[in-house]
Amino acid sequence: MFILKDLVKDGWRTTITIANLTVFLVCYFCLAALAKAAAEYGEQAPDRSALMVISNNVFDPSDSVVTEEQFKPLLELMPEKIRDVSPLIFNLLKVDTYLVQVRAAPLEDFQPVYFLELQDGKWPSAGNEVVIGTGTQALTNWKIGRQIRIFGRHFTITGVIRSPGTKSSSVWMSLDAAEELFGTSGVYQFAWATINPGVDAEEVQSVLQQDPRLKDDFSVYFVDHMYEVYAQAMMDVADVSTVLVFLSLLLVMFGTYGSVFLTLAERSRELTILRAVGYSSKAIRGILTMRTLMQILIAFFLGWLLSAVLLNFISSRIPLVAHAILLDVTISPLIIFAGLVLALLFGWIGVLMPMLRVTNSNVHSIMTGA
Amino acid sequence: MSIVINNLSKTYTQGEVAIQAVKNASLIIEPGQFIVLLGPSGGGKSTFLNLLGGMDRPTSGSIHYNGFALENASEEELALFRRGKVGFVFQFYNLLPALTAVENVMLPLMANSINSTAARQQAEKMLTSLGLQARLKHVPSKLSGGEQQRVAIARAVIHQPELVIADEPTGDLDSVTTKEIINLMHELNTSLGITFVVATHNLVWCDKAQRVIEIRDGTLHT
Repeated sequence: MFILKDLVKDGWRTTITIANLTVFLVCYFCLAALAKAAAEYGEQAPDRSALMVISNNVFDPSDSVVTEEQFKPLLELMPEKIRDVSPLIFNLLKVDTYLVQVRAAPLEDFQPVYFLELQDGKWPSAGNEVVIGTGTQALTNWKIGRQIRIFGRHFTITGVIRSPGTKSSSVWMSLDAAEELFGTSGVYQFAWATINPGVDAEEVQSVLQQDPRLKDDFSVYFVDHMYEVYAQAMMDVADVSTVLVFLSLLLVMFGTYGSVFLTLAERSRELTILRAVGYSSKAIRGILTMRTLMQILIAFFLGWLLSAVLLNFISSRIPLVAHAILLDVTISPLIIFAGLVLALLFGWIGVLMPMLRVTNSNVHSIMTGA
Repeated sequence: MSIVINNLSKTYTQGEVAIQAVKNASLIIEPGQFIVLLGPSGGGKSTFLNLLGGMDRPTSGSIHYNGFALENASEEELALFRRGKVGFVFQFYNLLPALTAVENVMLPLMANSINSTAARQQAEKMLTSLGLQARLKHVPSKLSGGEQQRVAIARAVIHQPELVIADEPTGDLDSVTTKEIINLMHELNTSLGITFVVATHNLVWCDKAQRVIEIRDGTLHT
């Protein structure tokens, strides 16, 4: 009952302690959100509906070179095992300061092969028209009708599409437009094949991979492979962020320790008065613990609020993107719950250590500083 | 509650020097007595009171309260003992600065697990009986020295202890206020039957004392 009064009365120290803890908790929230985003990066449900043929040992798909020769093994499996085969041009480009995946395929393949779904506007019809993915729109805030400059040429956005199962920021144009833009003909980055429903996808992959025309210089992957590679690269970020999360909670513990130690040192007389009037060491430990945990709770909610504002500001001004995939750096309910439990736990440990002195000393020795 | 003190001694060590603050003190305090412990500064008064109230441990000897031995009690047992049996009045009042007068007086009751509503009622009644009805919601910094000491006395007696220990309770007060405090304590002693042991170097206290015990260089002279 008197704890709140005491915190208010001890205004300066309370404010500084809460500010101190808030900073550590902002670090916790931001790092936890980053760790979560890195861990989830590239995550998507397994997709065995299509295969892609890509040059061996490329990390950036833009470096892959697939010609019409590599389509032959795929065409031989039609129509029993493979339903459609499509060439895909792929480039990671900077468009208006944003890194996006520029993809190009025959217009008639957009829906049946790549399962693109038009959300708004219309499909591109002319050579200077493109559609953008919902991920791109979220990243760039580009609207239908806007002109963007790709590889030195202007294109008009005619529609917004959703590409099921992908998170990347993509811009789609017709194959003809891309070949004209990049000055290529018959050279692609992927040979794309959709597998017939009911067919053993792994078997098809194995057959293609063993084909002598592909075996040495090309790899055959399911379409979710690219994200696995990117996700692997982000795991280090996730690991480092997780370690830093733990460190920030340790700082909460040490910050609490310092605050309680100072309180005990500067207010030992008041604590001793409580013991003189009959409060047991256990009761005083309880009072100090409650006092500290209240400060941690206030700092926690302040930290949460500030972090949410900060992350919102960052994502709206400088969204974090890796390989044209937007990182979802947000505070999840699990981060909030885990943070609350761990902050209180670490804070309690921070209170416990200096409190042992209160338990073990007699009243007179505390009053005289002996 | 009779208090039996037997060959009580306390030695402090300062560096390599051992200082015997209390030397072989023996005394029996009967219930309801008003005892003044008289002596100069540095004579051992405060040390003796600290030992009597369980705030410090003796080097040797014993203190028995109706058979309960203080010298062997744990810190938790001493806290329980103080909570139920003893009240303290200090020279510099030692009120908690963040709490109002009534909240300071409530402390011993809340230590005894009395709920805050009942504790507040009792504290207000006590302070009113001491003439502080207009000061209930004042924090110590807004009270005069005499008012603060009356609040401290109220805190010391609110839980109806058997013994009140006062260490130089008027050391910081003027002569008029000193007499008021003396009269107040004496009245509480006679009306409530609480044993008072008051340490002081001020002879004015002797007028109200039933027993005056001198302490010089750590030795009691009854």
